[in-house]
Amino acid sequence: MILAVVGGKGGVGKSTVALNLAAELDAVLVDADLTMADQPTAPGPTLHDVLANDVDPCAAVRTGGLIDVLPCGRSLRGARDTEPARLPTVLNQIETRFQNVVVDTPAGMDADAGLPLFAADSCIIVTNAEPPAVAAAIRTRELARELDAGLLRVALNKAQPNSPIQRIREALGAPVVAIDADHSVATAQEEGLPVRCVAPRSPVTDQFDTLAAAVHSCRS
Amino acid sequence: MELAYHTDEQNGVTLVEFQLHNPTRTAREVRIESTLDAPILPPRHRGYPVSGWDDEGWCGTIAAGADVSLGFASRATGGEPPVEVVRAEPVDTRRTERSAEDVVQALGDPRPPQAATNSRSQPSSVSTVGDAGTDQQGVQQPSRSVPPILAAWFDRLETRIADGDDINIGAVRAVANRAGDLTDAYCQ
Repeated sequence: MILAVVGGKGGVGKSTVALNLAAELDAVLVDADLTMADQPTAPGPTLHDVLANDVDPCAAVRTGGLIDVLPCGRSLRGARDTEPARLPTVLNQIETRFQNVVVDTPAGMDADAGLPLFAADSCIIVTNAEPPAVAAAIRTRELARELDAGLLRVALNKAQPNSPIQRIREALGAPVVAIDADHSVATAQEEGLPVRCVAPRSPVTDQFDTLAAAVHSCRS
Repeated sequence: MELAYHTDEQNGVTLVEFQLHNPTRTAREVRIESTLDAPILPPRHRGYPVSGWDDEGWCGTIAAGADVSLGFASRATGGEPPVEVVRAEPVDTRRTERSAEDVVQALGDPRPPQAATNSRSQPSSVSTVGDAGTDQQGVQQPSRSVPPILAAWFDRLETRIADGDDINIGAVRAVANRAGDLTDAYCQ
């Protein structure tokens, strides 16, 4: 399964949701933001090298840690030297070897956002309750439809008790899983860890578990 | 391609309904355009034009033997017929499967522009925006500007950074530093 974590607007929490979903699903986390990567990285080959056809995709996956990760490079030259259209093939190769792949997708409606959707079996749209974010999420949903990536759930990040969950559900046409605003999320993300490792009893840990369970149920 | 239509004028707005039938044995990519003397108001889904529609008409694929019913509105009145088939070409079904290259072509190359990686380019070799200045000794100083294509790309990054409220500050700082380095490089 290839699951794209998307959302048209930057800063809504895609990377946080992607990292935590990868942990819950025991999936490889692929940081597909070619120019503004922000998932944990480590010395060695990155997605830039893979997309430049210099490195085998599976060999570039960092295993042995809490989460298997294919990080993305941080240099402009590295991004420039890639062949982005290779991404679907790369993701398929990783899926064949590791089974589950979660792709952290950049914001916007450019090809770097579209290619993961093109490769994915399904997607999770991440948004917050702010109108610009919801509007961007609607555009992303249209792109997902166009590229045949089924929308499994909407992750409403930084949800508050009065968040308009029903309105967002109606606007995006998919069930909403609320992810509470909780300091444990930021703490975990700074450490490059899933919330479960930092705050196992946090409601947010249960909410990511619920989101992962929804992905499982849609697959079975 | 067989076309049937019906129009209804109400308060200066023409509502056009039409049906297309593909009587052939092959799928056809069809382009329909309005003949009315005003832009069309296409059907919308949650505020956005439904896929296939633009200001002038509709484009889509109709399978062999299939029917499609469509409609739109226009602030123009009259026009007979209100729509016309401007193209109905056989579709090679072997080519209809979309490729990753098609996605890149449709959405745009996501890579940073070449200029972003030419850190040692000479200012005189690029078209820049903004003016060069002079320092206190009257020595000509290079412009702090960057090529327009690079400036546009930086604007996109800036928008993403401005949008972000929980993005990784280290990544933002790295981008900002790179932007500064590139600007300096162009000014050398």
